[in-house]
Amino acid sequence: MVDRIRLPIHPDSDGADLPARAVASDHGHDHGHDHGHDHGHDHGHDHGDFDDGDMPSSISRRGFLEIVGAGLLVACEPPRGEILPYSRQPRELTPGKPQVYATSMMEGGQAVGVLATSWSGRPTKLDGNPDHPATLGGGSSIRLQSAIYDLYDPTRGRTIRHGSQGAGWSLFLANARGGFQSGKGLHFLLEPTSSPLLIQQIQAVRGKLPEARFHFYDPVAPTARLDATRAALGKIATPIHHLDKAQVIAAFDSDFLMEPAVGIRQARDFATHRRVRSTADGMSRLYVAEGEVSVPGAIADHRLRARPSEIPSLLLSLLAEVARGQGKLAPKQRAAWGASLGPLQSRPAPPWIKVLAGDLLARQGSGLVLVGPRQPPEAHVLGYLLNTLLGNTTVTETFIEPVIFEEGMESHGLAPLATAMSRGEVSTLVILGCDPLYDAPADLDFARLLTKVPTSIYLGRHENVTAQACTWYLPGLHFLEQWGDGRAYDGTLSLIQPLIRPLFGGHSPNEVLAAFSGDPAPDDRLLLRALYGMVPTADWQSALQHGFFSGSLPPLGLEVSPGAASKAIAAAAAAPASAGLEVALRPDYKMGAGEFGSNDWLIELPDPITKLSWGNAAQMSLATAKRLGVRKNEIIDLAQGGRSIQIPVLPTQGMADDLISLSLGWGNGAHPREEEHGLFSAKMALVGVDAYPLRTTAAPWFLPDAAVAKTSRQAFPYASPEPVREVLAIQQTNIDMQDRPILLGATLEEFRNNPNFVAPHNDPVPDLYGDPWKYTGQQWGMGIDLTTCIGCSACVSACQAENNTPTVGKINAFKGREMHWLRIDRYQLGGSDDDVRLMPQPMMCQHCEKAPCEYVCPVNATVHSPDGLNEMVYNRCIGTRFCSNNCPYKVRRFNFLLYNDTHMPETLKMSKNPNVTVRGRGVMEKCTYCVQRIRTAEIDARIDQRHIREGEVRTACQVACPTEAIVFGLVSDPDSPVSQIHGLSRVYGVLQHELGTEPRTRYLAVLHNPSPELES
Amino acid sequence: MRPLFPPWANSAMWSVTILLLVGVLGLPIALMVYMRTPYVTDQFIEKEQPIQFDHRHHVLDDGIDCLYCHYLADRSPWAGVPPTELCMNCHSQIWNDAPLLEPLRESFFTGRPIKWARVNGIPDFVFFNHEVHIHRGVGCATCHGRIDQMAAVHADSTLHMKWCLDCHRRPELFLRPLDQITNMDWELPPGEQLILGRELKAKLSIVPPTSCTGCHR
Repeated sequence: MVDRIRLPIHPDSDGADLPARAVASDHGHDHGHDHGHDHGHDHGHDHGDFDDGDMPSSISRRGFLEIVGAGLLVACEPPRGEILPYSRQPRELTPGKPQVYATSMMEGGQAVGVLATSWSGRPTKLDGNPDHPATLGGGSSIRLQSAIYDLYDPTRGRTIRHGSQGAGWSLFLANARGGFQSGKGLHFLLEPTSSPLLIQQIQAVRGKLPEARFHFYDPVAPTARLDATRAALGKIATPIHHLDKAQVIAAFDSDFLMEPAVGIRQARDFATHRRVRSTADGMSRLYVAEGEVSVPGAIADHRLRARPSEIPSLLLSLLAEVARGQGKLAPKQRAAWGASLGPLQSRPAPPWIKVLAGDLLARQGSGLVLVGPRQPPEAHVLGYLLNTLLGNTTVTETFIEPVIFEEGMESHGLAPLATAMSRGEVSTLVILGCDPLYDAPADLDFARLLTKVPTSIYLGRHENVTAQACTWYLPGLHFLEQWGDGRAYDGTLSLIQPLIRPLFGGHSPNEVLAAFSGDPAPDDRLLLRALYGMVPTADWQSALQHGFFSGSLPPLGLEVSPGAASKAIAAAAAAPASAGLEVALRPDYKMGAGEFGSNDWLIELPDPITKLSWGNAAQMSLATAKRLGVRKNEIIDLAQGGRSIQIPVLPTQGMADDLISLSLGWGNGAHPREEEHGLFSAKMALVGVDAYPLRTTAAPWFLPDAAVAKTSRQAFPYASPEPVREVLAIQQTNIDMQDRPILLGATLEEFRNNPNFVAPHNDPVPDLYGDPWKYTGQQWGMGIDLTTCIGCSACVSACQAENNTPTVGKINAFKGREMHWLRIDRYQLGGSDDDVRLMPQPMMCQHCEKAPCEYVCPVNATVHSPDGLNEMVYNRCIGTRFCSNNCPYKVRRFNFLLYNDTHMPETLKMSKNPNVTVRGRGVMEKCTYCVQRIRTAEIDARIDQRHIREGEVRTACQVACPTEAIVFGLVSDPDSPVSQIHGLSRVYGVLQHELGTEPRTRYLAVLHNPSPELES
Repeated sequence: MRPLFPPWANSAMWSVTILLLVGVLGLPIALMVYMRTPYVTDQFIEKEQPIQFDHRHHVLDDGIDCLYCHYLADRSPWAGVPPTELCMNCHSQIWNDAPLLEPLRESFFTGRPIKWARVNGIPDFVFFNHEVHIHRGVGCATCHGRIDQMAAVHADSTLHMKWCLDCHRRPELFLRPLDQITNMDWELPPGEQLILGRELKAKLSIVPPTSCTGCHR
């Protein structure tokens, strides 16, 4: 039994050398930890003590096993070791109890509120800050949940390097201070930022070195959206979408539920009108037109498959349809726009657009047209125009001042920097956090340009390709290690406070910039404190405690100018839909643009749509794959504009035809992994394929006229004349329910006509076992609303962080040995071939009252608790896997190998939740309903001599869910939210009627709200 | 006809059979007995500590309550060994130049923890919570024994699961009033203990967990 693993002891000299930094959070680092639970690494299967005082009179199964197992008992020894109490204990700390601090994480330069849980100075869990506007209610995303892994990532850069030699911070400071006079030749490249502190420092450097130049680069920045606001509204502005006020949502190539920085809030707002409890409740209607299958697209009420290049023309058709129905528009809009819309009326529109236009016209002021950030500026202008016409602007769509510094201005983008570099005008380039060698457009050839720069300085968490090409490398910081600030999507000023002293040294961008403006000993805490010096201490403490200063930016009263509108109409009408095979690039759900490339949790997480882990693939529709004559796993040569990549094929149902989708962010050379091949030795391999080589400045997203060729590469270990294949570790290969009632659904109309449509699946089942056990007292259960579940997978990551779930590696994932306790299944609900609706269903241990797994365990390692939990006792488990084979839901996970390696890097041991056993090889495990949280709450209630309060126990998946689709609580309390869900007519247990398992996790059948005009 | 085996073969066969039987049955039994001996459980074994801390002196002579030093016991899952600075509350004034306390002063001035030897240990898949036991009528001495009479502390119980369950199944045999938790002398005759225990069990509505996840999570 491998168990909770030894925490590294931080040498105290660590603490002595560094200046004290954190006020509220810097503790635990220079103190010992209680090593009370440090042992048991070398135990074999530990059967503990079988004596329970009830020795049977004749020899029983357990008695027999006790004797058989006795030989192994010599391995059982009580843990011996040391206890290291604090020398001086921080006042705010109670060893053994967690602390929670508010801080912020940056996504695309915008702040997302975070609550970080810390055990004796060791952060282990991140959640959304329920008060923060970007994470209202406490929901989170896969990236927020997995960001904790990045802190402990063992591949982080650790030492300052100058040339090929190690160097010190003081040497760097000396270099940074001297010899720049006016700053000529000094260029800075930063990620886009909204941080007032960073902005102040940029201004300070500009003041001191007036000729220094700043550049900002984010490969997936929404530049077209900003260009459109400048053209249409006369000034650069950021659109804010209020989905809680939208009844009809038309998303054109827009992944609004997963967008960085705003996705969590938008998902929450979207769900407010999808939460149907009774037949009287209304429901919003979601239309999605897109080429790839996105998270909102998969759950849409109506979905139109269209290649991304066809989206502007679809928007134009929608505008034409609105023009034809302009009699229904508000008089003001009709007067202002009637004339300019006239010529459009002759443009035809497909039926899908007609129905959508009818819905939008009927719901003026509560509709919303969303256009995805990849679309060209004219598409965005058409979107703004449609929202203006339909009275949605100021209600569901407002505009605010951009929160990103100098957003949309010339300092953003790589072009000016590339020009200066090619002219040899750059003598010193300081790169803070980007990775341009990996993600710059291929036509710039940034690697060659960088060789022309005599001094290049790179600050980042990894010594990646860019760092290796630079003359200086400085280790960067994780947001849990630094002080800072930033603005949320709506302008809310948020604070970053550290929870731990930098694990590997390292410095923040603030400190590097401060060095260039002449600060002799830059320290980001002092810099931040100086910036907010005029804030009264009480307000400052309160803001630190809550994580932000309340107050968002006011909406701007901007209007679309008629001139810009007609230009956009002309541009959209003139743009020909691309012929031939189109390639669409997109930021990956997990890797983003590449910044999460070393995060094992995210790499192994199944993609929310395709369920592909450990890599990316060329996704195309079934019809396109057939037309091209390629099959799944086959590696193709994908060429476009004289550039090509080799990538495996993954036919994906639901894609538009003649379209290949590639996700960016994979195949970063800085993050190779060991790849196993059966018994052969491991080799280092890239994870996924880098799609950036196809990307150019002119065509950053959509590439027309691509060519596909079967590859002839013959590489180890697949040297054979057969087509070259790649192993794609897809964790769900069948989306067909095969007529089993797993995911039930209906339309809103059908539900209103027959509220009990799931009743046949809830009929009682005859039972051979009878009913030997009556559940009395406090009972736990879960309810999952499949209508509000968007399938974003945040719960999967949250479960992994909470329950110490290991990653298994590509080959093991391919073999189906993934360890996630909670998975999101996708099932085909209606449709066929490429026209399918892929609905998500969270699936974890259902905690059956009559659990099939319990009947077959020979050692009673899985048993039932009196409060209705299906318990898994690791120290009893001998690994027969009978339980897993008898589980109809396939939710039990087996440790085939020692995934929680006792020799894992010390930092990864630090990431483990101390309240959950770390499981070793040969042990079965599964969802426990976060039993550690239940028992902790029970203990608290017992101490106070009261009952558990409603909401006191929330499972990790429940907390993480941005749409509150997962509800957990006492089913024995008729007033609890979970009891109310269990009492609804739409509730059913998966396979309950077929197997009589009486699961405690019950699902609300999914509802859709299609338009009657399109359905018929 | 000459017998195939000599006469002593009989006794040899029986001896070997008995030896084998004793071996097959006896070895597991011997191992199980061995597992319960202090060689394995560390019960009654005194540990050598970096500082010769004498509980007899601090508890009996000075009358310091358990919870003064082990102040986490009623507010955290861990009872905890006190931080060095808590020792220095007194020892900055008294015995502040005693050579015996040199490791204490060193820890205080360098910030390095004192490495105490663990006396009571449970496996890592067991989650024990001090706090709830203290608040629910389980006295210190019930599990730790007469610490006030130990020159060097030893474990007083096996900490085997059977030992835990003995109390979790019949807590009335061990419960004591909440104001007597740290009292080392508290003891009632068995009859009276049962009456008081039942009373306390009803009054505090004590239902100790006996299902697996009560302790194994």
